[in-house]
Amino acid sequence: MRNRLLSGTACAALCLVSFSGAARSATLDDVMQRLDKIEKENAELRQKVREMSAARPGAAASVASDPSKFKGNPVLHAGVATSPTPPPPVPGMPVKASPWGPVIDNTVVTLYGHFDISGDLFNPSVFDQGTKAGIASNSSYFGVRARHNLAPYGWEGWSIVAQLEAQIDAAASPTERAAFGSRDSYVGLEGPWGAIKAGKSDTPYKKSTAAMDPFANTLGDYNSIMGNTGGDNRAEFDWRMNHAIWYESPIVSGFQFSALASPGQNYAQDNSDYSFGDYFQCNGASVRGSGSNFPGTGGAVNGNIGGNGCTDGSYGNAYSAALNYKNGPFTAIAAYELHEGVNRHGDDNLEMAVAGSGPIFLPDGTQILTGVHNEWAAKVGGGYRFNDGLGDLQLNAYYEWIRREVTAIEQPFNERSRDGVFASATQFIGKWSVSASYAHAFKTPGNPACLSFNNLNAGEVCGTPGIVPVGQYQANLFDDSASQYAVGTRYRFNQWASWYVVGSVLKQGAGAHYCLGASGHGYQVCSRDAANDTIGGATLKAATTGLTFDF
Amino acid sequence: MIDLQPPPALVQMAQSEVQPEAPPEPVPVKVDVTQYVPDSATSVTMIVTVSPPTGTAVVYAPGYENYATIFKGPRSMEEVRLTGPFVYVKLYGAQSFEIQYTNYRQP
Repeated sequence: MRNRLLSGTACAALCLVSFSGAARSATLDDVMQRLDKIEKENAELRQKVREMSAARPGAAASVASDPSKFKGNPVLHAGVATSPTPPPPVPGMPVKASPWGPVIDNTVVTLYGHFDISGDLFNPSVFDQGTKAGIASNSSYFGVRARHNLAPYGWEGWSIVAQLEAQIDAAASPTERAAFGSRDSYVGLEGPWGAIKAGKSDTPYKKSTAAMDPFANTLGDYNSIMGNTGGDNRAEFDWRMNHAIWYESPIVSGFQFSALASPGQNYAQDNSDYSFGDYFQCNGASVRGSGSNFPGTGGAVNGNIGGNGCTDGSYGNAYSAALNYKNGPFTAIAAYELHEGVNRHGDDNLEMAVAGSGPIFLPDGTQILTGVHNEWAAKVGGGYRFNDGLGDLQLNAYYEWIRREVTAIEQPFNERSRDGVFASATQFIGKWSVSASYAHAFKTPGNPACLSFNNLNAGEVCGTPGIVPVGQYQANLFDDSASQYAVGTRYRFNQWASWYVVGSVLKQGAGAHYCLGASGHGYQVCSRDAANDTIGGATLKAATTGLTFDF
Repeated sequence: MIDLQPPPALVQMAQSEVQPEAPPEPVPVKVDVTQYVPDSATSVTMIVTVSPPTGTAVVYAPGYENYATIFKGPRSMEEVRLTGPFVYVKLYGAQSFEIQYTNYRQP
């Protein structure tokens, strides 16, 4: 052991002496040459590093590429497209978080969603229904939106935007209505002059007053009456339009204008068939959802193009436009929508291409005539928000005209023309808000059908003239106005989550058959008995509580 | 004669290793978006123009500075998530900015 230590020490001493001798033998010129060489190598390396950095556009964002560092709330952004080399980041400027940082630039992908699940208690006041409880998923959805910034390509202020959105049937069994793209889905170009988009979207008419309803998607939703043609779940003027193209202006001094067009693109001249591209349902019906016609309910002949079964509200070309104004506490809206050639032969049974067609007569001897005619709606309204000492108080109101342009002889059967009015108030108190709303449907000129008495004879057909009816009665002989009242409160945990409680009552004349929860709630509470007979004039009552979460 | 001055290359390299002093953090500018955008909006799409055009604007909702949206100059369009009526704007390398609201989203 000692010998090994001595030999090692001697070897180290020799090496040190040899190295020192070599150092002493070098001149200062040698040192300078070596330093020059090192400097050149250093410059070459620096140049290579610069070239490598320039070849990686997303390098600036790589600091955020570690998914473990991404917190992901409230929204997850990610870039997925490459682009020309971005300018170097400004010192001190934060880099946007992204789990997919290495491939970032100019395309921001946003995952978003909305959940609204409620527990309901309702009673339609129908003889064989009673009070029931239910769990509903209310217009819950999930979506992906991508925005591709065109500024680096010379289009400053312009973007390509695309969106895919699907309904989430969190409570009910999913159907085609929960397919990807079942809700607002489109691709478009946005810029300083506005946006042009194509695909499917809520109409400008629908969106113009959406914020006025504090009970949207609950059993107190204003679509029980507003935008609703004829009652039931027919919120045909609160619609998501398929195969559409639309323009949205930028907001200029508080004004924003939007307009949409949807070609009917129907196989049949009276719009009684599927639209081109829609092989599952009639135009004017949502997938297994709301609207006047959908498979299995007097609408399309299932899977059969050429069946001419779209006779319960199918329409051709449609146009919708809205002008919104917001300036501080003031809001104002004006909107208009037109459905061309709305086929209502399902009421008069005169769609001759359908087997078994033929005239229908009411108990008073009149033949039902409904035909194919244009329908339109218009509305104007406004809102004001101010602080009343307790907190902000938001007031909203609007008036609506819905019309079906029929001939005089068809007026006694026209349940599509009426006025409506809506008003709501919401008092904000800290994280709480208390709301109340009122909607009223004025009387229509007529009705093409019979409604059932609220008794065990509801299935008995309309009586003949001179005989006292026991099961059904001629609806156009009775008042069909209706009023809906709703009150509720909401607690907002924050901007993303809330809890609500809502109560609603719908009172209607004997000729009316509106529903609670139309167009938005997971299901509708209608005045129907177990055999699906429509009970006229029922009073509908519901209470609901739910939790919402947006991300 | 031998010049005993230190090699200039070494001096230059030593200087390049020194980190530049970090610029002062810009003061955020508070902007009320509800002048033209509904109070219930959850996000707003906007075009931000900055001057000089080489600058950048960073826009974020209160409490969400780490999730800011970056608007590169001279003009670019992006979507900003909202948590209330206000957003903050920080300018990097820019002296002024201008916002044009193009659209908004509601739940």
